[in-house]
Amino acid sequence: MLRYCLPAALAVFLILGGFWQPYDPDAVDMFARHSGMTAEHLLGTDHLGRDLLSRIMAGGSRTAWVILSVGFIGFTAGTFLGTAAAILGSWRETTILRCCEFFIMVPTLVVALSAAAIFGLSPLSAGLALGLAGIGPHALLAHSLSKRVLGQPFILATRSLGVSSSGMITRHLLPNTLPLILAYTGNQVGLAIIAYASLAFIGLGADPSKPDWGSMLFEYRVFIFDRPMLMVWPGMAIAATALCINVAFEDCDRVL
Amino acid sequence: MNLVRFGIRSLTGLFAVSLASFAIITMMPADPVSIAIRVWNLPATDETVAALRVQWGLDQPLLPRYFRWLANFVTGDWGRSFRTGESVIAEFVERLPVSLSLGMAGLALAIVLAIPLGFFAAAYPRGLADRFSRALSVFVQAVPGFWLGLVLHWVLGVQLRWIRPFANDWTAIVLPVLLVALHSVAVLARVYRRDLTETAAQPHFRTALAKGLSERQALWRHGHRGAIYALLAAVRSEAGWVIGSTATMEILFGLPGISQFLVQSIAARDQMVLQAYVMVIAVWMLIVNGGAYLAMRLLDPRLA
Amino acid sequence: MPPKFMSQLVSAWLAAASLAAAGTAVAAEPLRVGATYITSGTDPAKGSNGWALVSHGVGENLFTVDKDGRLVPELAEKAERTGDLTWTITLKPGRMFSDGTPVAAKALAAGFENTFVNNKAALATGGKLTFKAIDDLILKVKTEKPVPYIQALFAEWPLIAYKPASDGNAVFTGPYRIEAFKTDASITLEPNARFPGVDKRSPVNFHKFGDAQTMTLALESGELDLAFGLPSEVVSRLKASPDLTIKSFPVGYQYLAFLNTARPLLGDVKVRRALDLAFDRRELAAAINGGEPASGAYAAYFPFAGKEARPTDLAKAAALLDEAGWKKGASGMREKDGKPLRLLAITYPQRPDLVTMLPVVKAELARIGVATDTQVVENIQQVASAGDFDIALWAQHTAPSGDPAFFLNSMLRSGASLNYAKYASPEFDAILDRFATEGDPVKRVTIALDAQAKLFADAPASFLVSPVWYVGMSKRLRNYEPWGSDYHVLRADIGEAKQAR
Repeated sequence: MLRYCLPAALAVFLILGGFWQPYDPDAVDMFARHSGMTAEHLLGTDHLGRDLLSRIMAGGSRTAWVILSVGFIGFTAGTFLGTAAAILGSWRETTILRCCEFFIMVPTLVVALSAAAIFGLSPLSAGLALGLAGIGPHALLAHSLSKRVLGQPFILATRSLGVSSSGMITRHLLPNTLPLILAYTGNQVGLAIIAYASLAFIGLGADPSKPDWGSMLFEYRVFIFDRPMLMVWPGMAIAATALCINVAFEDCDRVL
Repeated sequence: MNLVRFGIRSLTGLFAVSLASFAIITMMPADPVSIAIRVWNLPATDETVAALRVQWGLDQPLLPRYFRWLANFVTGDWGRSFRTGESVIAEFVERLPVSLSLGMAGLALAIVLAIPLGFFAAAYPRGLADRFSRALSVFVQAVPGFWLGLVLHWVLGVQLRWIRPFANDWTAIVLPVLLVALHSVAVLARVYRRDLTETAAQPHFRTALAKGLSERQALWRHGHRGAIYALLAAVRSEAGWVIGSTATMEILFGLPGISQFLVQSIAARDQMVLQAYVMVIAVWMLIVNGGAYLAMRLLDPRLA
Repeated sequence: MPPKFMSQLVSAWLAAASLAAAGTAVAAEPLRVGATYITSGTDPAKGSNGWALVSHGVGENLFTVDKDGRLVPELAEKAERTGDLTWTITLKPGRMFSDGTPVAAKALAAGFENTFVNNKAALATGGKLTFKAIDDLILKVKTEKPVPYIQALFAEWPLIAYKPASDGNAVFTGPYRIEAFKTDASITLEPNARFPGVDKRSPVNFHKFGDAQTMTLALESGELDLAFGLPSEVVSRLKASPDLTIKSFPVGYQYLAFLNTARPLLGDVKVRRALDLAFDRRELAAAINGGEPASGAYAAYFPFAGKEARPTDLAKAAALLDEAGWKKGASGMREKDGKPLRLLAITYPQRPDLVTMLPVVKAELARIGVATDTQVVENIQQVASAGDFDIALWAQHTAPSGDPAFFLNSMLRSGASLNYAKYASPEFDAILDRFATEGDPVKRVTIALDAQAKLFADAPASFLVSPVWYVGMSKRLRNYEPWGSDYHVLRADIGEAKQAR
């Protein structure tokens, strides 16, 4: 039960963070610096008196955008290209696969780093870059899974029964490949959360006052001695989100 | 034959990567001529501007510009950095050893640690090593290396004083190497373990046991080779992650490597540095890939 | 390959890779000094290298400002005016360059001429100077504009004294000489044998840290003998450590915000003045744990500083914005013709206080309905001179030669090379022109106050905080006394304690 509740709670938290926070995450209050955990400030305040919970919630919605765009782009484009390659065969298959291999030649994080260098770091630019960089591996996986399914006897049987190819794809091919691809997407999204946090930590072209979890860690690392909780909360937020996503998608191949 | 094909494929790959990155980087909203005039204190007359545009080929369409750049790049002219005024290739040659040693040492350490960990995890399922490696792989998937680095930094360097994180000697690089290695240790150990376990389930392995070898001996003799093969295959995909963590570690620990140089240069819109960075990383990936490929061929001559 | 051998190989390989900066073997254990800046090169005529090399103890000036803020001779003995534009400078006898050649007028002349050709910041006070060596110790100088007090000009940071060498390098006179230099990372210094008291000085490894927090960690882990410019938030913790000595000192630096008058939104003086009124300087000083609200362009201890802290008045600021046509929209933020009042504020990581102040500035501007994007850039000078900003938080020593004119001439005069606010006001320039002919210090104070009043009215820059800085020392350097901001971090009298080894 816990396996479904936790990711659901996380999703609610991330979505809520986009619309509402208890305080303005940017509001400075010099009289309430380092308040510690109180009834007014559940997670306490930082060195400028900004409410930590509000900042983590605002950062959560930014992370949610990254999660969504990375997952959506990688999954849809990857599945489409990989499946198409497997079905089309011949020179079209080779072309698609070669292109996907080129994608892998530059590490995902470096693609995102370059994108941040050119366009500045925002959830959108990072999500797009990480998502596009994820198309290659997704497509390769989708291709090899589809090949395996297509080679099985029951596919030949359905073909000989005259089932249309679109029907074959939707009824027989995809139901067999999607769960595994989805599990892989979950894994990739988990990595993307860490990659986005790393990018924000590096801070290349980012707006440091935007409460990204990574940039909060960069800003608060001074206080690890006196106020370790300032470091702990954003770190926990990253770890918990990555973990939840991994757990949730691990189940995909079992449930579907 | 296979080797030649591998080489050709790699070169076409590099070519494609360079073209794609060149096209995207020229989209950068900055005019290199006006930056150069400002940074190098050149007179901003119309003639200078026009002369520079012609000299750098900015008056030409994308493709001719690209081939011009490619010719220069191959012959070792990588342009000049706007920020430092030095030639980009000299800056990279100076910094590359730091990044390379960090990344390669991390990867090497990961392989060296992953083999015993994976072996004992396979030899004693649900034993200490197995549980540890499973926990480690969950841990590294959720906890960012730089955060762990911050915490370790403080605990080991300041509280316990076991390491000297900022000394100008080899200890300065120990912690980052460990952190770079950590993720790969977890992944590679699991890959190695899975392959060993699969071997152990096969009939020929049962035969080996019947011949009087102990389980561990049999695993090592009959499973190790195949598992190393699987591990090397995983190294190829792990290399990207290693390079990524190398970049974060350079920033966190202030190591003067190429990623730190990129971060310092980019606010100056140093397009040449970014282009060179992408190329160097692509070549680096290719070398790791090629190395793993060669090692795999040695292990399994059927590939050749 | 056995793992043990492998690890030995790896460590040897790493040692070779990372030792490059350590330089050759040295007799005495070097002092380890950390800071968040380093000279960007060894060419003294480029950028702000002149300042950095003097700060590293490598170079000297003809005149300098001493511990008590007085202008005193350094390599020179005296300077006398011989005409409206001409001066005669007498050098101290017996001084030598680090290569063992005497400090001769001819060598210095060559160095200065090189600087005036290559560094526009050198032109701020006297225009382009020409030099003529009469004999070894007499140097004749001709200025382009009349200069009332050339001693102050020669104490300005671009005018480091050196002898150009053939390969684009230079030879200096300071207490240390450069043994090895690694861009952005470290500089290894050896005591200069030609500078008196060489046996009392240890070699120095000067290490640049990407940020002050990493430097703090290094100091705490015993890796540094001197950490210059500690972040204020760690001071109370460090003071508790028995191994460390922490000292604070007031500096001639001012934290200010350049308001880019060339940008469409800030071209309107009303908007700039509204911003100036919105900054709460007490809050900013509290955020960086030290310092006083700024009273004007100069730190309070200078005679030409303003007398009252700059005012904060949100109601007046709001009224000014209303007048300028920026009305509050539905969301509480201001807009005109559907366009939001959105500004870009930038600063740089080398001064950690400014990075701390940046989100406070954002919050303060939000109170009058101004939205702000913020950015921290590594190389602020290039970004600022490109003009891609509205507000630039800046740390500037505003009276480096003990005189008010240099800062105003070099950073706010129309068309000046460092005029990042792109401020162009003929009236302001006219006030500055009065400096050129006025030699009486008391009357120069009046001119400086007039100039500041004009700046308050036009607000091309908003002066925020007069800070204090912190340095941390190990036991070995516990007698180190910081002074002169960061213009003289390494000096001959560094105050090394006798080592109990």
